[in-house]
Amino acid sequence: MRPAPSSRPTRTAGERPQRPAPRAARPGRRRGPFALLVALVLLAPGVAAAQGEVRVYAVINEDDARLLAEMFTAETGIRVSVLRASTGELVSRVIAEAGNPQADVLLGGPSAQHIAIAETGALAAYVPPAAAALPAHAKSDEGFWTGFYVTSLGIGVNLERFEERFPATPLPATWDDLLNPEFAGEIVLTDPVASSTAYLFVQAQLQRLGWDAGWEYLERLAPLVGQFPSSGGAPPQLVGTGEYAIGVAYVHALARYRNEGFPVTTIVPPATAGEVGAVSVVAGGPNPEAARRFVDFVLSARAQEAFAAQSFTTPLNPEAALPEGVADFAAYDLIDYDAELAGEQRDEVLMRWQQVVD
Amino acid sequence: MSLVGLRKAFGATPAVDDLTLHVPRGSFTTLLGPSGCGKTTALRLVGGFLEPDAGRVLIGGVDQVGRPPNLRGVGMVFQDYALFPHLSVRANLEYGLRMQRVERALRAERVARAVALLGLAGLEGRYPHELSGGQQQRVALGRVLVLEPEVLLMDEPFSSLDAQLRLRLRAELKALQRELGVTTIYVTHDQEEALSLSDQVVVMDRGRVQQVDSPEGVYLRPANRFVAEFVGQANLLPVQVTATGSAAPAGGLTLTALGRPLSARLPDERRPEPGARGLAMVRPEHVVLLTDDVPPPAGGWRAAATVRARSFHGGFERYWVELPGVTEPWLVDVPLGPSLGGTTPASGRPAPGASVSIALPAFAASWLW
Amino acid sequence: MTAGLRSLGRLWRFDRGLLLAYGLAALFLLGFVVAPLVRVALEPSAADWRQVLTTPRWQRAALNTLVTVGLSTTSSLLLGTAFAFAVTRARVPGARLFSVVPLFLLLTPPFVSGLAFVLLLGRRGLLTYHLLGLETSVYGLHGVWLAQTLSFFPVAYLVLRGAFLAVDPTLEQAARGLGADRGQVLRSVTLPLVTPALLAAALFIAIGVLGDFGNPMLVGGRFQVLATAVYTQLTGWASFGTSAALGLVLLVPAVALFAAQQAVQAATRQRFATVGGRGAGLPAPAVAGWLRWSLFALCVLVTLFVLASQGVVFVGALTRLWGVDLAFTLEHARYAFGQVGGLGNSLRFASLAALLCTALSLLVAYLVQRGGVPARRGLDLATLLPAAVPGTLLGVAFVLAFNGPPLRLTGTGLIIVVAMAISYLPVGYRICAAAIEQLRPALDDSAANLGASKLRALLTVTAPLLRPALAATFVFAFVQAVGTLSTVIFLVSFDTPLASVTILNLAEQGSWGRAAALASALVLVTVAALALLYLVAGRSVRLWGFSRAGG
Repeated sequence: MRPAPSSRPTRTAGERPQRPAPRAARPGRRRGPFALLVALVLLAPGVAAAQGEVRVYAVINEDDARLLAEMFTAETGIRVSVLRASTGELVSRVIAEAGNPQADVLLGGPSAQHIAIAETGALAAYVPPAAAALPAHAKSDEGFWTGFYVTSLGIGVNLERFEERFPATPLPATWDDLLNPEFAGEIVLTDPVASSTAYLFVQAQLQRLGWDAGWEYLERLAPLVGQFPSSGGAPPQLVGTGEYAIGVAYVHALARYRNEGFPVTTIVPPATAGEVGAVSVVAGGPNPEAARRFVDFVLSARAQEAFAAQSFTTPLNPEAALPEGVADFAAYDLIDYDAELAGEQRDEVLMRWQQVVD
Repeated sequence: MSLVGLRKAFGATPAVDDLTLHVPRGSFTTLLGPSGCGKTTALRLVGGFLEPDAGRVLIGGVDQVGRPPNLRGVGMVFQDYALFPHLSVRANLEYGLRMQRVERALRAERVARAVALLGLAGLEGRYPHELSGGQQQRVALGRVLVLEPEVLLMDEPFSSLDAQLRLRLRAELKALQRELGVTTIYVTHDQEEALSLSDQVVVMDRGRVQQVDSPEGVYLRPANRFVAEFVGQANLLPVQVTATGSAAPAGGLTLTALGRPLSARLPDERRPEPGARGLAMVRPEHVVLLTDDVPPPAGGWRAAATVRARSFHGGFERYWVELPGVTEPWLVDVPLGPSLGGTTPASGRPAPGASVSIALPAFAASWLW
Repeated sequence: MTAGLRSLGRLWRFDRGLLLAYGLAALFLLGFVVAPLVRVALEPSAADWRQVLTTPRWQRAALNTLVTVGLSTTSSLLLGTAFAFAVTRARVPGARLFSVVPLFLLLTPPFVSGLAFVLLLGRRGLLTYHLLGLETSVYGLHGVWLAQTLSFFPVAYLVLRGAFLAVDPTLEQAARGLGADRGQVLRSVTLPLVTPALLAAALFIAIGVLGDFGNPMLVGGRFQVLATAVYTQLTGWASFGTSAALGLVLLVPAVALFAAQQAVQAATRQRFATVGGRGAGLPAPAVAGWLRWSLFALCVLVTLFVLASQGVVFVGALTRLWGVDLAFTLEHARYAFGQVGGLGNSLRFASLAALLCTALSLLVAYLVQRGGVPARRGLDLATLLPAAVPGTLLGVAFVLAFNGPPLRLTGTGLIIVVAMAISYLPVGYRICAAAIEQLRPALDDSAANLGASKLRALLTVTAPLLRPALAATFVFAFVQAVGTLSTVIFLVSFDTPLASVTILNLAEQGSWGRAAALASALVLVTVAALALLYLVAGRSVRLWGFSRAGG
């Protein structure tokens, strides 16, 4: 680099004219007031119509949320604003924003998370008419949340990577098949400390095998796991791109990757655990009436069908027809998952889990 | 303008200690002293860039202490000019007027006057880095003068210029100051500059004022050894007071030096006790080197000396001579006339090692406190 | 205290403009830096603290954090210094081209570069698997180390480049003249002279590594650090208490590092007082041939990697599905450029935040160094404090602090702008403070002498002279804010979507093509915005020059 000539007046003496300096220094034009004006214009608050709008925090996939939003607007004329983010972020926001809620509806996310928010008082009770037809485990007793889809844990396998690494080994078909020492470093499982998906998996093993045998299973599995990412969305991605051969995730998330074109196959092992995805009304949100209408709509048969067809989850409304490609939940071998017990044991289990892993 | 009991310390050491000074309106006053003597600190106290620990700065009878620099009405020319490098000459000159929200027409008029006064015509559009040192200096001065300050402060404004240019600008500055009649406080460590420019010279050392007097006063009647040695060259002579008679002109003094009587000047009103021992000072050009051509001055003081060294200085020749009983060698400056002819410059003059006699005319010496 | 009151009194009497600016700056820092942190500090209960301090997993995370800070800071410094040396002193071929390469890394949103990192070096990475046939795992400490080195070395590069340019080559020539060989000149003159810059860069990088959660999240594998724990505690089970406690634990080493750097700097300030002032046009002595060519090789290597990681993203944007179906498609690009709102917000908010950050950096740096105001130390500290706060924690602190009276900001664009500005304030402040330090105080004094109040002196003299530093601050804050994720992820709202957050969501749900397309679009519009700025502001804005203003 050629050093730029200095623009400081040198201290050499005499009448000798000094080195020309770069054209760097010129009197500045007055941009201050203009900048201020620009700032004011740019900062003008986005004025949202308070009437005829509903604001939705969406944990579900963006396209799926948009599908529901468009259907709802077409039907009612109410505009839907969607903010999509991961479960953890939106749950944290609903809790942190209590007192000045930004959203009307929290759409999606496992019921366990909705229960956790309800405990902080950030959710409003609302029982939509359609809830009457839902099974007891798919709705809140107090009406704080209502299930609108169900999915289950499954095993995702990247076929390319699996065949390359384990040409002689059959695909894992049961939870116990994961304990094959060959798979060391090839399994990806979310961190239960950070993700409710993984906690569901841990609880499912404890409830399936019983406390002691369940821990024995987990202690054998943990060393084989190559990575414990924090987000429930990570395993399908890591398996989809072939970073790992095997991952534990929700079947609908795996299905989505397969649908995108990734070489992923989904296995639903026997004695798996199901998870209810819930929708709830945020307490004190700006548009409570529209929020309730939106919840009613999400549980309607037509919305359930359309949503299921796109998201690969199973609808909960019994009136909704099962779209093609969507798993019939009745076909799955589900354990009788005790969500209440899972909630009570959480601190104890997570504490012990951290000892197992490390 | 007056400074009353100004005091400023940095840490434990006082930079300015009990500075009291009256600066007459329209005068050119110089603060003279070695680096670190507190002269720049004093200037900064006046300008408001520092706040004193004690004392007052009175301008037109109003205490300025506590006022920020921008409200004091004093103009300052900085050592390295501190021209704004991003502004043209015109914008630099206009800067202060803009700050005081002087209207455009008046601004243009005053700038035009400064440009004419300082010979900056044609340079208005240039930037500081495109100017020579002397031009920069003029812009720095003009920038202050357009504000028509009550007091002008200058901090060694010529120190970064070469000798020739310095001489020329010095003369220009003196003429300009006379013409405008602006009260000026000038800081320098160059005694020649101080003597040639000032109406009043303030010699400072270690934060304290040593002497306040006219240029002639500080040179011919230095108050003490520090002033004597700092302002010009000084030959020191141990003396004893014999009489403080009022008979001697100008409140003179009679002394005994090296066993011979000697008459001396007094720097101020104080009178030493008869019998007191002390030092007197003689300027080198006032010492007479006695040769065949030079007769001893009448009624003068004489001493024997040995030449140690000799050097040629153009207008005069300087001898280092040793006096028995005096620790420091004396300097003797002998003016050189055209008779030297340039052939063998030192012919007929004492060479190193030669024994010579020196003499002092009456009142060539000055008593040092 | 009384001295402080006295100086306030003087300001009130003589310079109310500056007093107002001081009050606003102090209020801003109190309100947006100190208050949110206090709010967060109140969040954890005693039980949360006990849990955080006694859980072995987090003790290990803390240890891991220290390890990464040590390793990544050292390697980033080495790489950044070598790169800066290569383009300023070694005069490698193509130095002009190489000098902008590290800045592309700054410009790429961190999440995108992390993604590119996995795509290139992951188990199925383009380089590792497809080209080299390696089946290496990038996940773990070594991956984090590599990724952090690549993310943080541009910071070292920027700081050191400015420092090398400021070293007077005459000194090096003088050392040559005194008989030092090339290596000795480097060791005994050049490197010691840039020590203050090295220290400053080390501090920024170390604190950046402390708070970095993106890289460990993507390539850490089972290797956990505290910053990821802060994030997962919050997003996993909404454990605000433990998350805040972990974040506060992170503050401890950050503050310690800061204090250490200050102490070393204070102790060595005198020795480096002579740095600065370019010599009388003397070129620096040439470096040894072998060194020059190894540095050249290093530059080429880094450049290739930067090109590859940008290329991967662009290719990903134009293919159906990266790694699976490489058919060309414009579908993702169409989607990306349909996200006008998010892209527009990203640019709008980032430019406003950069403006705010620049103005505040200048104001505080001026107040602290030249303002003669009370509580300068506090001002200094409050400005540097955000550097020690992990982005996620800052975001949550903002939600908690500004969700109700006295200041309700959640859901507005303002909260995003302020959070972004706060995040880059420490770096901007440092840039401005260093530049002011090099301006002769006489310029300020003479402005005051000519009748300018301090505020007007700042606006008419200091600010114009600091234009290169201000431009550097603006550009740094702007490019970083465009790509930021951790801070704003909790602050985006229905009306204020941001492209960076959308990219994360897209990648998370597996829509990699769209994520890559949006990321490419973001990079393109950012470059376009910078080009526009360059054209408008003219040559006076040396975009990347941390060069010093004349004095």
